[in-house]
Amino acid sequence: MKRRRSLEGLDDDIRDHIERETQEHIDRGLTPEDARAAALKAFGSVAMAKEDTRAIWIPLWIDQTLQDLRYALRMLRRSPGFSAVVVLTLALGIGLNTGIFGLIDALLLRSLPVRNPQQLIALTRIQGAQSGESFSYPQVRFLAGQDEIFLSLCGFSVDTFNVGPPEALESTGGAWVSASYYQTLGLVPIAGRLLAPDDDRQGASLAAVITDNYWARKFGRNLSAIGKPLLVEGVPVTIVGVSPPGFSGAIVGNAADITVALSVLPQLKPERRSMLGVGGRWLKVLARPREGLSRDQLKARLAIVWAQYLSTTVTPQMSPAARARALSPTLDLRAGATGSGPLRGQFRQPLLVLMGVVGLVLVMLSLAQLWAWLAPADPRGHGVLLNTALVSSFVAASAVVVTATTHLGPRLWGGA
Amino acid sequence: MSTRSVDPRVELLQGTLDVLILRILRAGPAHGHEIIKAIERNSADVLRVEQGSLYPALHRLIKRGWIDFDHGTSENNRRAKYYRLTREGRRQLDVETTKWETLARAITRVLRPA
Repeated sequence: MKRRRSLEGLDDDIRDHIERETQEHIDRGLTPEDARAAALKAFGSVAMAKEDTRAIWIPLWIDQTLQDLRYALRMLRRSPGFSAVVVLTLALGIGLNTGIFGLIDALLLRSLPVRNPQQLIALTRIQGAQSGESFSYPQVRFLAGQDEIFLSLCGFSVDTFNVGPPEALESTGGAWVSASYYQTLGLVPIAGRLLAPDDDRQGASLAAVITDNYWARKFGRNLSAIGKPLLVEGVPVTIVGVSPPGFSGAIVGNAADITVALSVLPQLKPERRSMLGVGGRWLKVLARPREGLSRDQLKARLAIVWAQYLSTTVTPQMSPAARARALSPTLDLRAGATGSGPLRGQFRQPLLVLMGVVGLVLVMLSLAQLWAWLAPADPRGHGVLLNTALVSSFVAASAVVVTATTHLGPRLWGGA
Repeated sequence: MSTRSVDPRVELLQGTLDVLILRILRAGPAHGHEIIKAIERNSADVLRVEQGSLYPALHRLIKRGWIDFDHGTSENNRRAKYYRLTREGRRQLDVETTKWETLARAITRVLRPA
């Protein structure tokens, strides 16, 4: 480039120039010191010459931006109080935005830490204008058997278990899962084994998988924990293995430290035995479809088998209305990569709105500050602008803080 | 243009130095110090250029494509940049010379009416 080539050696050129001039004065009879002084005087400011020469090559917009920056810095120095408020407000805004984004990421965006999460789908049941993601245990078992559609399919739900001896019960997050839960998610145990289809049948021995987090907390990641009984609801359940680090269940926002098969529910919570019947719809469904099936093909095949299933649920004694209602639900599917979570439906909108508001406030703040700093140096107009920016900073900051504490705070971290 | 300044005196001076440089280089390539000396000598030492201002002017002319330079070695075996007129610069020198003569004639006419 012309600029680089030309500026290269500028310092040498100037030094050389001054040396020649000095030599000329020496030749005319001056002492070396006087000659050098005369040469420097004739040359003028070396620094300025260099700066002016470099400036020739600076594009206009960079030049003006630099001037603006210098101006902004001068303004910042001149009014340290205003600057402090601006910096604090910006810091607060950015911090809030980051925090909210962290929540959004964890609740809404992040994929489950499982194998190929983008292949997972979640099933939705549609009845009339209503849709839900809850299925009954018999429905899950039926759907899990459709191996021409699904490589594997599972149903699951979170619960709270009372763990430990009666005198030291600890309320612990847990999950009920159907036979191929871990298989569907494609997880590999970090110790022992995970639950397998054999664990989810009547008469199976009581087996639990714990999370890596729980293993670390309660057993210091000691391998001797595997095979030990854990008292869940007063019943000894054998710890058979530990799920991989980072995984805390397929329901986002509800960490499930202890996972047991659905079939052992009658032994752990006899009073809720009926939940395994056709009447209890409480299980989320995640599935890994066979490869090569398009979404439409998937839905079409699913519709056929689902209609078959529904036809088995109607009885001759049903009234025509009841029969129609029983046959009416249809299935839909959505991407299951992010798992499912009740927190999600609850917080999706408020989080996005809050994020948007905070973002908007940040943009407005930045604009106000830019405006204030870069406005023409008309002293009166400038003061007004500064005040406007100052006031709007305060208002915006308070608005953000109030919104965050009154709306988001209690709902996420407090009682509800 | 980025080189335009609000102060018209600077503009005039810069323009003047630029055309003088072009005129000096028409005689052949020269390095910075030689150009300054040639201006002083040719103006019978009437024109004294602040030597530092030569460099921004040279670079402005390079940027506009009116002069270019080569690396050479001077009499006492020192490396130096030798500036030379480009074909465009030669054409520009004619334009600038005509402009200058017109201006000078006009000003003279105003200052010394016949």
